[in-house]
Amino acid sequence: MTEFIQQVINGLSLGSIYALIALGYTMVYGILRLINFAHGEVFMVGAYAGYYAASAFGIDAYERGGRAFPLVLAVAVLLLAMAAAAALGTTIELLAYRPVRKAPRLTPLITAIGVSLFLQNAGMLVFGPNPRRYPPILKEVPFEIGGVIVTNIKVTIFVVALALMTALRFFVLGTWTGRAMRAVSIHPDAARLMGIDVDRTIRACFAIGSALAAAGGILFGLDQIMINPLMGVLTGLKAFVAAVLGGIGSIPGAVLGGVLIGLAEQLTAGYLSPDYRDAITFVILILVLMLKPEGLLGVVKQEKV
Amino acid sequence: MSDLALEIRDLRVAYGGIVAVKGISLDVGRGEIVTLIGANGAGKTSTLKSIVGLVPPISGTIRLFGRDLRGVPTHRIVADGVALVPEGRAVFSSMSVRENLELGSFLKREKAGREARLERCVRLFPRLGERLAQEAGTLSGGEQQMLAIARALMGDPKLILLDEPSLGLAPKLVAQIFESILEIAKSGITILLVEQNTRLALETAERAYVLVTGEVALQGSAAELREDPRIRAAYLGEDPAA
Repeated sequence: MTEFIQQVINGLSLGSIYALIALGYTMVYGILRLINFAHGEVFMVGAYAGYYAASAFGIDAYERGGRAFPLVLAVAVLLLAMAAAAALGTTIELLAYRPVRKAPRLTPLITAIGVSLFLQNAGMLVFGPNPRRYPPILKEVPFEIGGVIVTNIKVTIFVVALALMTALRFFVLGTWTGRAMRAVSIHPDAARLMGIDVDRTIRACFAIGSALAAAGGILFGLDQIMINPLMGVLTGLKAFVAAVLGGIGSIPGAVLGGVLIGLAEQLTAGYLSPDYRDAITFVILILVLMLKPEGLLGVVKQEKV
Repeated sequence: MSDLALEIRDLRVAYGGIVAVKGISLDVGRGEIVTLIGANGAGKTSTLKSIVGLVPPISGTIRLFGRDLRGVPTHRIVADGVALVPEGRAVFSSMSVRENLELGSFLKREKAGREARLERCVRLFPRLGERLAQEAGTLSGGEQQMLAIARALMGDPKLILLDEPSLGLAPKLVAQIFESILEIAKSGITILLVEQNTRLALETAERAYVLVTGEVALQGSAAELREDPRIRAAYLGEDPAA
């Protein structure tokens, strides 16, 4: 039983990282009907932005001196990485997707794959191809509750992800920009007629989705210790499957899908074999596409009369 | 300041590779109710869409309250005080009626004004008041039409473009919708009405333009056109000899 709880805790923390990334896929899909394949690379760049920000704040000196990195600086690292990713995401939208927005749907999709490959290679060029150890923005402190070992990092990942997702919920439901996003995703022309600037709304969507991915990147770095320029490929795909599982275009769906994929991966690794931990995601993808292609919380798009 | 709310000159609009509007000119004075009638495919909807910038014209000029709209994006045109109630209503189906109405005030979100307008809309369409929390997609066609009109009013427009408000509605509802259109006009809002129901349109409007395959075939006061034998034969279904 304790082992099961252990796996569930690890799965929840991993799943909340997938959920943060899945939100970006689902938000962009909801508004543009585009699978933003470069989103995994935004996640990767976010992780590196956090890495460099922590270095700039002198994390090496703290580590050498055996002192903990101040929490204020850790939060600053998170915010800086989120801002950097938002800038990258909106730049991708402006330079790569906006020019092909009115083209047939295959064109933006291929463009997205191109941007993804470009950023993977740019990452290897700029950051170097070798994996790097992620700086200890948060010092790991394990503690035990009833035989289950939990670390402050796992808890932090869960709490930070939950806080960001709650903030997103309030933003989407309670602010005018959030309403504009929903309006554009339901009916872009009607949204224009309300006086909504659709270009600006799409930009906001990319900014927010990318910032969430960067937060995911930092949490991933904290959790997995190593980062590399290709880390966005597999993790991005898994988060994409999470979005599909939850119902692409649905924000609660992305959260649910992320958590389920994280749990499935962890439980598979724990009870079946660690060799299957990556495979299970794609087994789930195939099952979803066969049995419930609209996803758990997705709606079947009804044709307009 | 121009007396005209809307001034269109030699407008040409292509839609999906077909020239739907072939050089029409029309004026709508401030406070007027003008109707644009004609058969399906005559270019009525394309004209309205190009006024609000959803379909850019090939050539010609559109002036809104004297301002040339060439190259102005839709959200800016809307900000200048025009609202389009689109054909097919285009309500935000998965949002509540209240959210739909509030989105109508996207550019005029100051709370006191917004609530005053919401109250006025509910007075105009009491059925919407009963359904504020309901999802817009679950409303009947007539209620969705009311919602689309009310949503347009929530932006406090000076000019409302109505595209086929009677389409697909039961006669009783149509009468009710047209009564509210007259009431809206009484409050000083200029109205350009596109309608296939010629009889109703000519009873409601002060002036009319008749479009035939993208061109203005006839124009004049609604009263005159009601008596015009060509209109009676072609659109009112009457035998000219009778």
